[in-house]
Amino acid sequence: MDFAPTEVQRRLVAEVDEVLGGRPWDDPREAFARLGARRLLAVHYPPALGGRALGLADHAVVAEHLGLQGLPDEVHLVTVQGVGCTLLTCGSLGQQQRWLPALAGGRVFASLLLSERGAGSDVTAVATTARPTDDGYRLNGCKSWNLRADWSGLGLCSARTRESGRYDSISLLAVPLDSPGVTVTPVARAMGEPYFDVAFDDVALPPDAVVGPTHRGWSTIVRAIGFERAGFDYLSRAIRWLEIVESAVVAERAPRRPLLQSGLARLDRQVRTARALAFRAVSTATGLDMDEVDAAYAKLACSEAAQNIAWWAADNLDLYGDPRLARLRQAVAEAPEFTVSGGATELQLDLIAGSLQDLSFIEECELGSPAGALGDRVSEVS
Amino acid sequence: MRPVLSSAQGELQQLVEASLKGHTSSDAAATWIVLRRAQIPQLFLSPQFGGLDLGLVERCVVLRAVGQVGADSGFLEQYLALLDDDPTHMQEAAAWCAAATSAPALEAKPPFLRGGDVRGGRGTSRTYRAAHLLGLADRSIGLAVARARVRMIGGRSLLEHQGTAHRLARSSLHLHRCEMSLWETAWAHDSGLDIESLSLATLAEVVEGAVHAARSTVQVFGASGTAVGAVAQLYETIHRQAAVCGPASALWDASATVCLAAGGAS
Repeated sequence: MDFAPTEVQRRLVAEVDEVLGGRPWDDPREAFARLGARRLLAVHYPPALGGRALGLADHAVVAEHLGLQGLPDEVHLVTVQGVGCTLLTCGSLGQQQRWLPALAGGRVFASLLLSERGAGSDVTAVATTARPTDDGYRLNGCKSWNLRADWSGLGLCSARTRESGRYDSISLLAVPLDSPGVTVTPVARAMGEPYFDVAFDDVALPPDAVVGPTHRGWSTIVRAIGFERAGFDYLSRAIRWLEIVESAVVAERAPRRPLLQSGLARLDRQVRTARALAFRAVSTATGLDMDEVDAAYAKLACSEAAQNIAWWAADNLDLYGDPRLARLRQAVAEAPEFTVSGGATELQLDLIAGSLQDLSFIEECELGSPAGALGDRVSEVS
Repeated sequence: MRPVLSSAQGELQQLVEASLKGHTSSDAAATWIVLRRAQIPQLFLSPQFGGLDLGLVERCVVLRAVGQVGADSGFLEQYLALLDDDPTHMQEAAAWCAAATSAPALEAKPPFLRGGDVRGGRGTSRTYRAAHLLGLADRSIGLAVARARVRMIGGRSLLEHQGTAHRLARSSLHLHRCEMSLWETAWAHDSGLDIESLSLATLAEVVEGAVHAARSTVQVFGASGTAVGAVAQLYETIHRQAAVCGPASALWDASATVCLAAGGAS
């Protein structure tokens, strides 16, 4: 058990700091490109594909640090984890060699294109089609709710590749987003950064565009979603916002400060325990695959910690009168999305509830004395 | 960061769980005897007395396991606190552990366990309380799940109904957060760090998590939850222990006061 970074992880963070130079970047893509050139964006990839053959936990340390430096870590997460790890585990050698060095190098960003309007969190409700042709596929449809898709050069897109059942007709396809027929359109939101619709109008794709098994891509999609689920992107926001909240509470005087400080202590603990759960998920991963229940605990804890900080600040601090708290006003606008995107809270609770069947001491509870007697007595009372 | 038990710590957990399997008494002395038979107390002695000098993480592993079977950890906590408080007790404890090899001797209360308040370091004693209370909370959720699995409503088990499933999942998340907090505190202590603020916050977190678990369990049992001994007793025990630990609000406030005085939380 260890709650401190390893020496390797310390050195990685120092390297990132050296590249970023402690200055703000007008275009974060330039920062990503420089980090990629030093093989810092995907340290868990094989060296031949732009990485350093380190562990997933090492990558998580870097990813967390990028977020803490203010870089848009959700882009990094989707590119390197959601899309990159899917190609690494399910893609062909050709797909890996074509895309992974560019993703790890920060030269190309990528999007997971799964959601569609009207489908909500149900990624099996796919209306987009990839019709087989003599020379590949023709892709038609529209994907919604994608962040920063305007940066992306690659999309991993779910589509129906045949007329069949709900699950066994879906494939995952690698789509270069500069292909003719692809349109990326921003959708302004009242709260948070714009989403993007990515529309496909008879886009021609080669036969080797499918990633993983054809028609049976459902398991690949589930795996792809799992790669990005530890919650580190929420965590970096939570840590940055907590620092602002702490400064505000420390600046308060009696009688307000004593009233606020226990709330601060709670938030601090929420963030630290969420971080520990996120690192537990990556530390216990088998290769690149996290246990889905560990990831659910982490995602839920991280997203709710960030959300709670924003909402606690709204309830307890003068966000609209104190200019030093302007960032927290933005946090309040971003907060609702955290428990919706990346797998809604309800889905995570379902996963956790399903795992409770395996509580190790349940059998003893049922068969042992206190709870063995329990069954009989419940029957009597019921 | 790797906030999971090491293989050696996992082995200790299995050893304690195995020794407590089937133990149904909530009596502190009876629990002590079971642990003594498994030679668990000896492990905490320093190597010169034949022990392994196990740290706070390992102590928490044992205390949590005691809580998970619903047993009272009073004697064990006093034993550990006395070892923390005064190294001269180590010799006394070692002598007793060595002498008490026959079954009748095991029944005797160790002479150095005199009852009364624990005098050990405040941070470690608080963490002992948190570990045992977390174990009780684990047990509470275990009971609730066992009930929800077999209770059928409308042809489906209660656990398949989202209202109950999500209630238990929420409690489980809370307890997983408590677990991380507990390990962090114990690890910090074993790494030579000050745990005054951290131990207060962890105990506050665990008090809230345990109380939430106990209340959720009664809710899952429905009316029978107020009548079934195991459930009602655990509900009462957890609330009583939570009260002894201090109201969570006071613990949070104390944690923040200590932390901010030391320079801040982040």
